[in-house]
Amino acid sequence: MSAKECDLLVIGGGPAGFWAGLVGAIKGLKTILAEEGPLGGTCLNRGCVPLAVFLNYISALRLVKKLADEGYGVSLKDLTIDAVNMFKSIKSKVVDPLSGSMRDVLENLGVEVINGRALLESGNSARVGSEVIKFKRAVVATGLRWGGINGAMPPTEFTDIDEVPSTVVVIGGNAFGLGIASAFSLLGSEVILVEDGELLSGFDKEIVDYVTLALLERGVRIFTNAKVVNIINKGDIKETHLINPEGELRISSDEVIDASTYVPRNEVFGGVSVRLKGGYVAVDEYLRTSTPNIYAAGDITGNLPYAHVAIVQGIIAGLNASGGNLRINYKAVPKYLYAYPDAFSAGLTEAEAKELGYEVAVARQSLTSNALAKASGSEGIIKIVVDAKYGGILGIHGAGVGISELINEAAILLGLESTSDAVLATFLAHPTVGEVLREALIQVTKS
Amino acid sequence: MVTEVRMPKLGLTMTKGTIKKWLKSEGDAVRKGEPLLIIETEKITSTIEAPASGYLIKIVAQAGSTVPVGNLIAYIGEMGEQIPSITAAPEVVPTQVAPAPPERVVARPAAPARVRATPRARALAEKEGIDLSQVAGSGPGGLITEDDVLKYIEGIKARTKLGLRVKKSIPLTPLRATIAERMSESLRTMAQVTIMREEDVSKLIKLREELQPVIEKEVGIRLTYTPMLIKAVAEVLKEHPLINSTLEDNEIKVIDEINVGFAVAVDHGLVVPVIKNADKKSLKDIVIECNELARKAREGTLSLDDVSGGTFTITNLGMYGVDGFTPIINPPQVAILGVGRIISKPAVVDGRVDVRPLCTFSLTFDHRVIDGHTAAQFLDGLIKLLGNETALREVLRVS
Repeated sequence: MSAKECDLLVIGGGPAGFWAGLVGAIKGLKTILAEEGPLGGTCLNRGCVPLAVFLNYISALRLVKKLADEGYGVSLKDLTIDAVNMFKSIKSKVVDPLSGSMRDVLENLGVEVINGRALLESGNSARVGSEVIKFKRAVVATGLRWGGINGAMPPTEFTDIDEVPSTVVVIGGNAFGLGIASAFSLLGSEVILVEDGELLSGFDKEIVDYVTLALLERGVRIFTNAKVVNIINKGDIKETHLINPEGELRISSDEVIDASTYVPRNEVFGGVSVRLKGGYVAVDEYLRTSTPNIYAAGDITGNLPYAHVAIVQGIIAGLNASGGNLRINYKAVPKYLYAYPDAFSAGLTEAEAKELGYEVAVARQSLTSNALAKASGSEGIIKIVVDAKYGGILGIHGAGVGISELINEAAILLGLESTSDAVLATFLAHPTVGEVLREALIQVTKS
Repeated sequence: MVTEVRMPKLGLTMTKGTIKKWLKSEGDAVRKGEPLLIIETEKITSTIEAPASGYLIKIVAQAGSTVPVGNLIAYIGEMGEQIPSITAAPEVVPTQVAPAPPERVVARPAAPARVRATPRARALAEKEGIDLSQVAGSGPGGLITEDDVLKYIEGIKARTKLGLRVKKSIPLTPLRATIAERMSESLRTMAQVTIMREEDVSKLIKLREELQPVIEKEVGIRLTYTPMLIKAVAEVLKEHPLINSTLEDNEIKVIDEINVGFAVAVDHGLVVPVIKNADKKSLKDIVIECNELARKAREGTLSLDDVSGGTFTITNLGMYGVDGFTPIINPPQVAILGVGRIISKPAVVDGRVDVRPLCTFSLTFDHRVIDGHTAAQFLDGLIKLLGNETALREVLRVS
């Protein structure tokens, strides 16, 4: 059988692979993308996208309910939410069409999308099913697979539930875990959150405190520094055995979701040996693996497991595989919690900035006095860490319902190394939620 | 009124100068006599002072340009003041080789291109006085980032201002900075003269040998020359009050206490703890106090009180083999005694050459307050005391 030939083979059609393939095609490479599932990867199909859509719909409904409850002239009778149905609808009406349109985008650019699991056989050939593909360069973006504890459900299956559990244990105080925990909490489940370290590692402490308090107020029970020993099925009930500094604990629940543990899908490398780092595929700042014509992007590289990291890696890997020479710089990666409330931490936290020896000025501003926040039902706080010496913006952090609208402003201001005075001289529109940045930065202006 | 700043002629052979760096930016306030810019000629690098007070309203010749002597380089005036229209464009000789930092050769475009830099890079460059056109950008499309400016600054620090390679940069510790400031203040404000005498100190040695076991027995501390000299100096200061004075508001104030400081070397610096009222204390008390203060000095636990109030200072470099030197007065004192090593040398005693233990005493005094003969009399008084066994024994009573 004759082999297919291409300039660029992309393995994996998640955020990293999609963007790598797109860039390769735009750059004129004959590009093949192999994906065993639907395009869009975990994020679109079973992760952040359906979760964010769900939370957004719930937020919208809560805004309507608030208008009704607080006498804004809105009357509302019998607002009920059938979550199982909503998840199904999100899948069929939002996720699947988006995945389909990703395929259209690639195919319109001339990318051949092959459905199947790829395995590298050598530095320039791979097998997808019975098909052999010869390539000049490859981008591997196969991501992570769930590696959670026995007896637990992967968080990626939350849209497939048959009924809303009345009690659910969520393991993992990371962004995905908190997102799942808030979703079930909003649906009326009693949620118990278990994390073996601290919640939202890497976020600014004030942001973590805000989110923690909001979850506690919603009735979520939180166990930090708690390690899950095992989960025992007792008929319809699952019993989670955990150890925390206070001792041992057994928690009964209808469901246990483990969002804490994932492992890289390295088996794709089959016949090619690449250097690993901490179990993940090691890449240099150009996203090259130790086999020079093979690049890797996305979660398999062991960076912060955010889709936005994967996307930028995919773009840079795609460009470099097309003859570019771009380096990736993770300095301004925003950490993102899409939950209820949502939160982000971009750049340096206050503690990190102090540790690095900066003379730090901190600006804080609440959304309480922001007109458009009232209109959109947003609330929360913004905290900006500024280098007091030169006015450089070192970190932007936010927590509150709807606050994540500001994450891209934060990413751009940090990525382009802005200063407080530069932002104050910028025409941030009014009324917007984003002008809260101006309200905060006026407190620390250098001029 | 607008004042023109022109390229000065710093030497007979100077025909042109290169503007190395403007120390003020356009719009900055300047005072007459304040450093305004640094220029470089083939021979020297020199700081040029502002010829008038006001604001630097216009820089005509930018950093990096080479300008003939006498040509206009800037205007100083009041804010908003009109600059006379420049009839003839300043004759600017394009610099052949940019004063690039070491190992970061940046190709300079013929016409200055717009520099692309992030706001943080710009803020840093402005505060640190860095010309961004000299910095290579590593960001997207050559954008200059804050890191690039930081690296550039590191690169500059790798050379001295005159271009010499730096092996290592040691930031001034607060102690070092204080010493630097006080020492230069001392030399800047006083007219210091040092006189020296080499003398036979056999009596001092003899007394030390005699008193050492007594002191050791009484207080358990080995007797050194320092407490003995402190006590002797305090005694002589009583007879020479002008040496124990300070100059304040055009008055010489003779001080009614005799507080003798002694310099102690510590890590990367020097401290001068003070024995207060040394003239009134016994040798034993001075020994105990010296020992305690020296310990605190080494441990860095001296209090402000321990080091203030000195009226005269003794500094001893004898242990390093030094003979005579020119100690710098510790302001606001007006004199300091330097003590050299004791060394056996041939000396003439009663018309015959003999081997004697000699020591050089160096007295620096502030000539604004003290004249040579006054200082010489004080030094003579001290030497006479050190040479008179009976008198010295009386002064150095143990308790």
